[in-house]
Parts: sequence; structure tokens; C-alpha cells
Amino acid sequence: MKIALFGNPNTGKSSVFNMLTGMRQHVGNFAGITVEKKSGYFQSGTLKHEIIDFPGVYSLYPDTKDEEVVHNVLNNPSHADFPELALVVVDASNLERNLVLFSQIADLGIPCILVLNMWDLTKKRKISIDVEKLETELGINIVTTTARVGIGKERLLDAISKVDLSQKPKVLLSDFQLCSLDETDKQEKEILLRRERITEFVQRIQTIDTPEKQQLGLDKWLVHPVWGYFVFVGILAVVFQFIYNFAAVPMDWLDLRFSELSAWLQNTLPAGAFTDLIAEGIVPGIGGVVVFVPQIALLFFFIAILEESGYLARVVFIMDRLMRPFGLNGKSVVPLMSSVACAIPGVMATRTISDWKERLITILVAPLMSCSARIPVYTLLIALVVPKKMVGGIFELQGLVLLALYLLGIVAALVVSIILKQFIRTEKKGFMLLEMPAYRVPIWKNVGLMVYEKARVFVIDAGKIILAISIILWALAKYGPEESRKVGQEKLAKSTAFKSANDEDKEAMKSAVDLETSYIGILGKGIEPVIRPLGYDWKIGIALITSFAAREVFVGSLSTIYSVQSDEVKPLIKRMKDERNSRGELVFTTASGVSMMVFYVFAMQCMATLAVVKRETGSWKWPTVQLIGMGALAYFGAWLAFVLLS
Amino acid sequence: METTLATWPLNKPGKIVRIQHGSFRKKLYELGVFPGEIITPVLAAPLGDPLAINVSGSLISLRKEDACFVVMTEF
Repeated sequence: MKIALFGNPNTGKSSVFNMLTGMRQHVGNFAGITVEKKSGYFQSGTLKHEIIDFPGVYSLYPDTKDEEVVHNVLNNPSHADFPELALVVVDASNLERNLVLFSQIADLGIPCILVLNMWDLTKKRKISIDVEKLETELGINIVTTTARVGIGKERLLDAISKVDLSQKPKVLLSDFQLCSLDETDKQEKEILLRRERITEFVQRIQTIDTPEKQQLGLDKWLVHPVWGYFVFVGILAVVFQFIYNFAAVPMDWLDLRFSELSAWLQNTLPAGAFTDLIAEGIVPGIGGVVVFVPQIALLFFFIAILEESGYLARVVFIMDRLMRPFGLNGKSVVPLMSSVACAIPGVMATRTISDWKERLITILVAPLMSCSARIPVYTLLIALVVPKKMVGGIFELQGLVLLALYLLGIVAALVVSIILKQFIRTEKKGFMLLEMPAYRVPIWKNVGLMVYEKARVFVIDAGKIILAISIILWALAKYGPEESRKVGQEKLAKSTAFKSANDEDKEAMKSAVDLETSYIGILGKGIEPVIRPLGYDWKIGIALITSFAAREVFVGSLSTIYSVQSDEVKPLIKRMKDERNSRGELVFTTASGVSMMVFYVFAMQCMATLAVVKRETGSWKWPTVQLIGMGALAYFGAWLAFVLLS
Repeated sequence: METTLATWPLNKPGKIVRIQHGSFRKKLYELGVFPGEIITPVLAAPLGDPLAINVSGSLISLRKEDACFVVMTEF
């Protein structure tokens, strides 16, 4: 049977979904649009059912693109996702508001089961509901659940297996037809009329003993004008501390395993182009994606806890006023925070922002936040040009520079937002209406599922693009015009340095010449005139181009170019420090090093993010704007840094 | 005396008289903010914006610029 799950936001709809499907769920998109479609399977008795978890809405009249799906599907009985049975999840402690959506679905004549969720809270609030009477009044089956802790699963499965699809629920408004999306006045009238009838009706089936006085409780501190920010900054500090300290262990481990796998494949498989493709192109490409999974998973673990607990809605509340002058929204905070791990989940997290302009600006500036792929680049360059010394007795200079790079990204994001705010025009003015859910203890199963889902999306969405680009770049670096390659190798063989080198160094020098004479080497030399004002030579040019697969490839490329055999960073740094250009000047000076850092802070060197932005904004216009805008910012920023410091 | 939600004192229950037109009026109705209802602003974010109001037990936050459209009276 095809089942659909509907409900207001914050009714525990996802918990009901997770309770029914467990791990048998799948996230995709609704046909033809970029709205997330969560579907899953479960069994009741011997029957297998497909269930779709629709976005949470307060009524069938949408305010955002995501919400439109609910209207569009229910308005079109021949739609592929039109349900045979609707499970409408309501917060039983707030029936009057929740039944508006239910009554609309019931009036459309769709067979329904009403799920009175949050039954524990309802009892706690001393609200008693006459379920039997409600069943007869509505003419449908009702199940009470506390889905967070899995109570009511059996009853719900039982109700589903016994459901009589020919039994239509009783209607609230007869001959009901959905208003079209632009008939706002009619929609408002309908909502008010429904609400009025429902209030009358609820009074007959519900009694509240001594309504408890709303307590502010935790909110007294968590949204306090002063303490609220302390708490938020404190939480951020803890989260990022965890991410950087603890994610490094599994990341290094994965990194090592992938290098080993590459080496093993290279030695085991028969030598040839195919082996090289696997060992040098595909495996490192996959490794470059997988290595970031621990960090992304850990970040989303924390975000999921904050969301599940109800705290994230408070963050939106205290940050909204501060973000608005920048053209952003309180809801921009989470996407921007996520972008510190990776811009891809960050961009996708903007879907909750209902105002298109504020959402677009958030998407456009998210990649300016320094993501984890930049860390290896920053680390290398800092070790190269920033001396190890203490500042003011307590701060390490290298650490301060790293912090400065992060801050530079954040400041750039805010400044660019202000500029974009002036240029992007929209007719529809946005608003921010948000329900702040009651605080709850997070349910680990829900947290786990969210982490799994985000990591999966990253691996698949980012993975396929990073992999494709890695293979292309590998091929460009592997092959080159035969003639010049031969000439290059012959020249090397005659050189005195080569003759006096040991076997290992000879191999390294040969690969360096191979890279120099490859297509990518030619490209690197081609862009040299453009990047010379920034203090870079063609070798750095090659590293910049290869960074388009993923920024951290920068380090590996430099290792190859400077013919360093070891995987360790130290020999590479030593080699780079001695590097001189054709005029005999040192290549890596403070000026060129800082210039490169600035370049990496600003430049849009991530094809995977561009592809996700294209998908989220629906056209290539915005990724192009992003690529060119951030490129220009990177170029002039790097140029300025170089000129000022040299 | 009528005034708007934007200037209504914190923690004082008030009755909604009407909501002036705005693109968000339907959403307010859905959330239970409509004429005749008693609501209480209970929290204000720093700088007094946005506001959080208690609407029959649930906490709804809205920006001050939107709260200007909600006309309130004592009851």
C-alpha cells in the first residue's frame, strides 16, 4: 500500500517515520524538483508498505518550495506519490492547531488514520482526550503514540493492517476544493473557518484540568540578551574543539589506509595504464572524499543533537536580528556553521530558509567559510612561511595565523552578503515565523539516522564529482605530447644533477619532468603570466589547477612537482623552502605564502559545491556568479597581500 | 486602547483585534494567531527583536516588523 505521512512541524512526524521504517529508509528527491523526499518501507502483517514522509506543514497552503509539494501531490490524484492512505500525525497536546491540516486532508476524501502523538506530554499537561468519541466524530481510526520512545508502534501497525480504504472520514467542510496557490484571501478565510469549527468541536472531546502556567525555564538563560550569546559561543567552541581534535585520528587513519591501498594495487596488479588509472586516479579520488567523512559526521552529530533538543530554534531566535543587516536570516547560522566542515551540506541546509533572497545570499557566501579541505593547505603554508614563535607570551603565532584565516573567511562572507543584499532584488518580501519547540532530550536513533543521512549525501553528491574531476586531472597529469616528453627526459638524463643522484632521487626527478611535460604542466605554464603578479610560478599554477578536484590535492601535487618521494610533509616543506625561480629568487617567501593563503580562503575551487549550488538554485547562473566573483576576490586579495608584504 | 504587538509589553496577555494585511497573515492564522485569541509576548531577543509569543501553550517567534501588523487590545 502507498502510505503518506503528514503533520505540522514539531509533532514528532519524523519519529513516527523512523519508528515504522527503522533503517529501511531512503532520501531522494520528488520527481523533477529539488525537494527532499524521504521514503521507506515497512511491514504490517504480511503486507509490505511504502511510506513517504512529506515536509511538515501547518496547512495545505504552502509558504516555501518544500511545502508546495504537499499541495501539489494532494491536489492531483493521478500524481505518482498520491497516497492510498494518509497517516496524519498531530501533537495531541495542541489539537486545535493540528487538526486544521488533518481536516483538509480528510475533506479531500483520502482515507486517514489519525496519530495522536506526544501522548506522554499530553498527559503531563493534564489534557484528557476522549479518543473513542473522537473516533466516532471523525469517522476514522485513531492511534495514540509516544513515537520518540517507540510507544504505540504495534497499535499503529495493527491499525494500518486493519484499515478499511473504502471508509471515508467525515467531512468538516463539504464539497471541499483546495484553493489555488495565489488565492491568499480565500485561503485565509478557509483556515479561519476550519479553526473556528475545530475549536468548537475540540471542546466536546477534550478537557484540561488546571491549565498549567507556561514556564520559561531554560529559555530564561538560553535566550538571555547576554548569557544567551555566551552559551551559544561556548557550545560552538566545544563543538569545533571536538571536531578538530577527535576527527583528526580517524581522518589520518583513513588517509594512510588509502595510500597503502594505492601502493598495494600498484605493486600487485599488472603494470599498465589501467592499473595506473585505478591506483593513481580512482583510489586516491575516493580516498579524498572518504577521508572527510569523520569530520562531517561529527559536525552533524552535534547539529542533530542541538536540533533534536530544540535549542537550534533558539539560536535562530537570538541570531536573527544580528544577521539581518547583512541580508541574512537567523536560519543562515546553521548552514554557515556546517560550511566550516563542508559547504555541500551547508548549501543543502539552506532549504529551511523561506525567504528566497536570504536563502540565495546564504548559499552564495557559504563557500567563503573555510571548509575542512582547506586545512591541509593552510597547515602546509603556515609551516612554510610563518615562524614558530610566541606572541605576547601566550599565543603561538602559527595558531594565530590559522585563526586569522578562518576569521578572514567569515568577515568576507558577511561583507559579500551586504553587497549582494544591494544587488539582489525580489518582489516577495520574506518573513520569519517560527515555532520554538519545547526542550526535549535527544533520541539517539534520530540523531544517528540524521548523521548517516548527511554523510551519505556528502559521499554520493560530492563523491561522484570529486571522483570524476580526480580522474580527469589524473589523465591530464599522466599524459602529454609525446615529443616534448621525450625531449624533457633526454635533457634530464644529460644533466649533472641527475647523473650524480641516487636511484630513488632519479625516479623522483623523472616523475617531476613527466609532470612538467604533461598536459597539466602545459596548462600550469600557460597560466604563469596571469599568476606571476601574485608571486607564483608555473609549478604553483599546476597545484592551483589540480585543486579544482578538491583543495587538499594542492599538497599532493606539490609533492610530485618538487619530486618529494615521501608522504611526510616535512621533506616537502624543506624542499619548498629551498625552491628558487628562474631568476634565482626564493619562491616561497612570506609574501607569496600569505598571498597563497588568502587565495585559498577566497577562491571557489570546489566543483562539487558548484554542482550542488546549481541544483539548489535551479540554474548555472548562480554557480557562475560564485565562481567568477570568488575568483576575482581571491585574485585581488592575493595580489594585495603579495604587494603589501614584498 | 489599541496598539500593536510590536509595542505590547512583555508578559502581559492581550487580545488580538485584527491583523493587517501581510504576506504572512495566513501563516499567522495557521499558527493560531488570529482575531479574538489571547496571546502573551514572553521573550524578546537582544535588541528587542524578534519576539516570542505564547499562543495557547506553544511558543511562536516573529520579527518586530511583522508584529507591527498585529493589532492588540486589553481585555
